[in-house]
Amino acid sequence: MRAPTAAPLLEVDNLRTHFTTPGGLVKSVDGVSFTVGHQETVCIVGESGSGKSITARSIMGLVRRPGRVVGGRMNFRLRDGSTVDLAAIPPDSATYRAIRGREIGMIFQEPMSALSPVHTIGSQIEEGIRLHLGFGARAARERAVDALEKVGFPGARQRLNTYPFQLSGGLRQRVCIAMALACEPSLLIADEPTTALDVTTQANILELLLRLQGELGMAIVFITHDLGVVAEIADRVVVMYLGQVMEAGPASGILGHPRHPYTRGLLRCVADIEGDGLLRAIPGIVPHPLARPPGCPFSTRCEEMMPGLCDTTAPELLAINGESRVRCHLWSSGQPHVTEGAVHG
Amino acid sequence: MFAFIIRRTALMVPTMLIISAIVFVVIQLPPGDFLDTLASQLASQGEGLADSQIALLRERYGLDQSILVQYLKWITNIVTALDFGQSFEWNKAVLDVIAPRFWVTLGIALLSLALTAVVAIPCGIYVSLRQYSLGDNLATFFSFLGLAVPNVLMTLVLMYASFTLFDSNPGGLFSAQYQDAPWSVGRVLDLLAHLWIPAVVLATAGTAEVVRVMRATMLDELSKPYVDTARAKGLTEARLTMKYPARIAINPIVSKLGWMIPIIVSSEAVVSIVADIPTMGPLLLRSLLAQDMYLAGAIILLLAFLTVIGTLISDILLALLDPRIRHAME
Repeated sequence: MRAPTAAPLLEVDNLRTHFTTPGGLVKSVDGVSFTVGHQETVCIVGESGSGKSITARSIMGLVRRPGRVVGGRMNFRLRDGSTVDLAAIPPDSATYRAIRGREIGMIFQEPMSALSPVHTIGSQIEEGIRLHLGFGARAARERAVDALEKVGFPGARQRLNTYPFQLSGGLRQRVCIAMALACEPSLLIADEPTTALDVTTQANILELLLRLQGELGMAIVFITHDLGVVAEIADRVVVMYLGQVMEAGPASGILGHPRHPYTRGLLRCVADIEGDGLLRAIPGIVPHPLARPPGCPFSTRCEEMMPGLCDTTAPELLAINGESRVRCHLWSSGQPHVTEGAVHG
Repeated sequence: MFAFIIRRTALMVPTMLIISAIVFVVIQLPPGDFLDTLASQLASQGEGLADSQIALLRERYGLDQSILVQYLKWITNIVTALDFGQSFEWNKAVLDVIAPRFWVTLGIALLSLALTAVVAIPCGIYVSLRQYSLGDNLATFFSFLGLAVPNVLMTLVLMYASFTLFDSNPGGLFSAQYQDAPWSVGRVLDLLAHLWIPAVVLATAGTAEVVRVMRATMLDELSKPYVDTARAKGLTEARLTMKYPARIAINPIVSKLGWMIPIIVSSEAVVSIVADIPTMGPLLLRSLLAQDMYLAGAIILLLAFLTVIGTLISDILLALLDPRIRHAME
């Protein structure tokens, strides 16, 4: 389908990341597949416990013990044109370290705790530059100033020696972004980078990320539970639930014509605030990871659950048309079994 | 920062004055005084001391005056002339009795502190990185062993080992040939050969504790998001561990430094008595038993002074290490 030149930047295929806990095996990510094209923004959406953050950490090789990437492939295209399977290299190997911070940058949810409280922001930004680009102290300092100026950090040169606790939340997140982008990676992984910020700051940071994406020509994998953010920035959306992809496809399709009852539920949470002012949360809670329901993982909360089918047989992830995929028995034959409520504006 | 040090140093003066008053009251608390002890000692040897003679001596030493007057005389002499009074028992100026022992004590204390730091900090970092590994469990085992074994026993075992294995006589401060010799390299080495046993014994319990504290703080710090940020930059594990979590986990250890010296000094008494090393611990014990009040008072005051100085040093180090504290001060 795709021309060779349009080969994706990152191709995640059947990724599985499991945690061995005293209570049993937790399959946090269980067979997740999606692709990220060059300069594309892919949003991974889901509630807490959906495995979206673990997916991001798996790509970055940052899964903590007792978690481990146990299967699947993550083919990533390097700057020099070659492709590596990130799932096949040990996270603490020199190969992976050369990719982290250089080819893939990452920003985190809490800009305060993501920065060391006892090191200056200059010292924290410069070390990646010195490591990956082989710059000396002076050159690294200049580059750090550049990076800070790019993210709209006022008075960058004079404030290299400030500490994170002297900055506001928005400025801290700008420091984190400058740090992640100092070596101009081709992919930025953003794990809920605006969740801990107030609404105005949130909007500023999103705007900044989109501008930088254009300037640096990078792709973004954006983890969020906020569909408002998705609507603003996403090219494509991956909806996750209990470690699996429920629905994936172009943003316009997912937001405009959601197929999966879970996606529709998520959208109702946002849409109805503007309607009658009531928050329509999806009923029930995400099942405990050690008590996965049989059949479809969403069957315990689904309004369109079909007894005898959804609670016994796990649905496959099916291609619907072109780039859209959905994991739901309603769409098993390629057509919805129930048309009512399938299309929401 | 400079203003902070000045302010903290100035604060030490009232602190020390209050401590000195408490010390003076406490050493006066036991019934009787040195002369009563002396009289009963002489009586037990069959030599009586007439009541009139005792009264005369009491007047001479000012022991018949009120406690307030005695205290004011004592503290004034200390502040104006660094005169800590006379030791009744040694019949010498208190300062002359304490001085040589003070340096030995400080030497042992610093040696054991250094030993603690050199062993415990790397050990604590290692076991936090290898939680529940064989090394971690071994370290835990030896930590508890170090905490549980009494210092007396450990001193005896080390002295025995040193005597049988290295054929050296570990008692005292110097070997016979260096006892009165002038200072030389050989004499310093001989001194170290005698000081290592008390230093090791005193460092053992401290090491065990510091390893536990370091391990716990490191485990806490290692789970913080800034460690992920450092990993996301592509740093090696060794480099990021030393630059970030280890650097932060050292703070609680530094803040303990202040009161580690007095703990070492008070626990060295037993070790020093067993190993026959002339330090302040045994001296304090003896002066208290003999109600040699000025000597006891001076030693306790010196310990308090060391604690206050130690706390000041740890506060300064903490401020240097942690910018949050530095900025809170300004």
